[in-house]
Amino acid sequence: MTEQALLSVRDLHTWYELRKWGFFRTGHVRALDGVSFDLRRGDAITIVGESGSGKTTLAKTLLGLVPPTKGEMVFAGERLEWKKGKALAWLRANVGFVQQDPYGALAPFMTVERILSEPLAVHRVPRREQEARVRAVMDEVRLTPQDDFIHKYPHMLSGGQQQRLVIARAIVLEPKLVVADEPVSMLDASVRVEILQLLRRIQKSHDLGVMYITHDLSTVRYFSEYVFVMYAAKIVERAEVHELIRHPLHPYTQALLTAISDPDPENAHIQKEVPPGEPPSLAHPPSGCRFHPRCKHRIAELCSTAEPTTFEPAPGHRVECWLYRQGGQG
Amino acid sequence: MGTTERLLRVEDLKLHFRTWRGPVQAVDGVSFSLDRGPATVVVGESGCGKSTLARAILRLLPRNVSAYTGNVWLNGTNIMTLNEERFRRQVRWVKMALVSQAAMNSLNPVIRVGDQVSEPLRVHGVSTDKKDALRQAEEAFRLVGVSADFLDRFPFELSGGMRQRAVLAMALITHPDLVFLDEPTSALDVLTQTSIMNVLKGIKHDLGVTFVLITHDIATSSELADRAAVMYAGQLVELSAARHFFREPRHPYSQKLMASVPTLREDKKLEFIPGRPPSLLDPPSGCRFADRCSSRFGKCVEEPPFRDIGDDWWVKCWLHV
Repeated sequence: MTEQALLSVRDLHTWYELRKWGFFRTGHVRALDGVSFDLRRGDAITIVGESGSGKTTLAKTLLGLVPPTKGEMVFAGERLEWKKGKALAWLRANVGFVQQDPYGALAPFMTVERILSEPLAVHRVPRREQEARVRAVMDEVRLTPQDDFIHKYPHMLSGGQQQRLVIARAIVLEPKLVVADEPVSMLDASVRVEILQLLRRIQKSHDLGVMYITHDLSTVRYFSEYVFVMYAAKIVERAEVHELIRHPLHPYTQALLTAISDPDPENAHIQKEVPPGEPPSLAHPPSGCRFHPRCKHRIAELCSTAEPTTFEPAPGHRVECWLYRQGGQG
Repeated sequence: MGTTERLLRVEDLKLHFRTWRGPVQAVDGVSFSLDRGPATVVVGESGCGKSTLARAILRLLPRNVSAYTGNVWLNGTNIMTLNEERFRRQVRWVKMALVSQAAMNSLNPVIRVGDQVSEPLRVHGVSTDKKDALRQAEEAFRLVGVSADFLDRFPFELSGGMRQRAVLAMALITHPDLVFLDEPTSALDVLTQTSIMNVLKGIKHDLGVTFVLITHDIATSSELADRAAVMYAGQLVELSAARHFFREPRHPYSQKLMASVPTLREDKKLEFIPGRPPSLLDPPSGCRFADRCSSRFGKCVEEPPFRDIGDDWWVKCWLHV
């Protein structure tokens, strides 16, 4: 995936400082600990993980909201300097963001028109072009007829319409990449599908790179080509969607897939296997493989001492787990 | 099913709220029965009245109630006729408990978890002795799979999953017959969600507690469901055994709802339901789903009856009369 990558991230670390009495540094929460990947234009990647796995920190770092502690990011051929205001403004014009809670993400005192024209004004799009672009983007997310919506306030819209407005705002500057953080988790199932299909359509028609962050693996296959699984601030497995669902390799991914329910009445009669314990504290992550305290396949000595390297047991399917050190199927 | 005793029978329950734009018909004419044992899931979109239904049955009412009528029989007693004090002493939390939405975030941050979990015992006069109450809290903790060490801790020292288990223990401590769970796992991670579902299945099986699970997450609801109820715009539109609902729902709304649920293991064409539910301020007089329904016909301008089509399978649709 290296050639013509839209976004290429190398060894990205984002640590938050822990302070005592607001002054003394007492340590770090390693929210993102060595993440590398490439994203091509037109591809959709899903990042799945539980809360606290670092997936939202990844989004924040990519959007330039949090400076990374270490590592580098090359976006559209430019190496990013997080400290330079100009570079950040350029980054933000080119990366759209779709938030999780649409109502919380929209200013309640702004009309649809103002919400959509604000990014244009901030990034100095001439005023005479603004209205045409607002209307075009409203058409794209099907907030039509535009005249019915353009003077409304967010509270006058349904949840689905609000989320479409958030998507419209994310694409109004015609970005190259859209980061969507749990875009449908606050919505009803019946609306969810509509929003996912909308995002997919926009991605195809604009040839966008999309990074979709979610904890819900069941929607993934309807949305993206690749899945990255995050656990305790690291990407532990990455593969094409169907491959990952059919042949999960990392014990954590396997547990995650087992846990997801399909609507099947037989579920009520079985007890599902869940790995014991909870994800580790990122201030003091376990040594070796971070999943080893919960893993039933752990190899004595090895998993608790040495951090696993990346193995590729099948083409394009990469996993960070010692079970695959001989290239076999565990 | 006919041989078992009916635990709960609800007849034409209505709960309307007064607002400045007129009464909101949040629950409007709901009738159903539950048997002891099988767990029922209540599913529907947000705003369809599923949480309000639980609150209406438990008589946990806000101040702006404009109408509250109907009959609720619990173990053969009509609890709608009890006065508030008797209802509190004999029914609420003693026979029927509620784990409300986001309950895990409403634990008091400055009171030890054990004291909070045992509080229902003292408030409802089941146990006046604090030691005994704590011992029972220990028992309840064991039931939900939390170590008794946590009794002395404060809520912030517990993870989300632990807190959710603690509020579950709080609902179970009085040994109620019926427990309403309002979105008990929706704020939790997948693995935590699954282990709580495992706990609920165990309790259902071992103690015979009857659960009513209220959720919008249909896929997860199948983990507990023996029966399924579908609500739409303040009314029940379908009530059937889980195997019917998940495999061959009859009401057009239930069918659309099932078609919108993404599945992990099989490829299916997802659909969404166009339009939005009617306003409960002034719902249509006929079938409330008619506007969004692809199989509507002339009869749908009249309100369909909620009828048993056999095998304790109830549908509110003119197609099934």
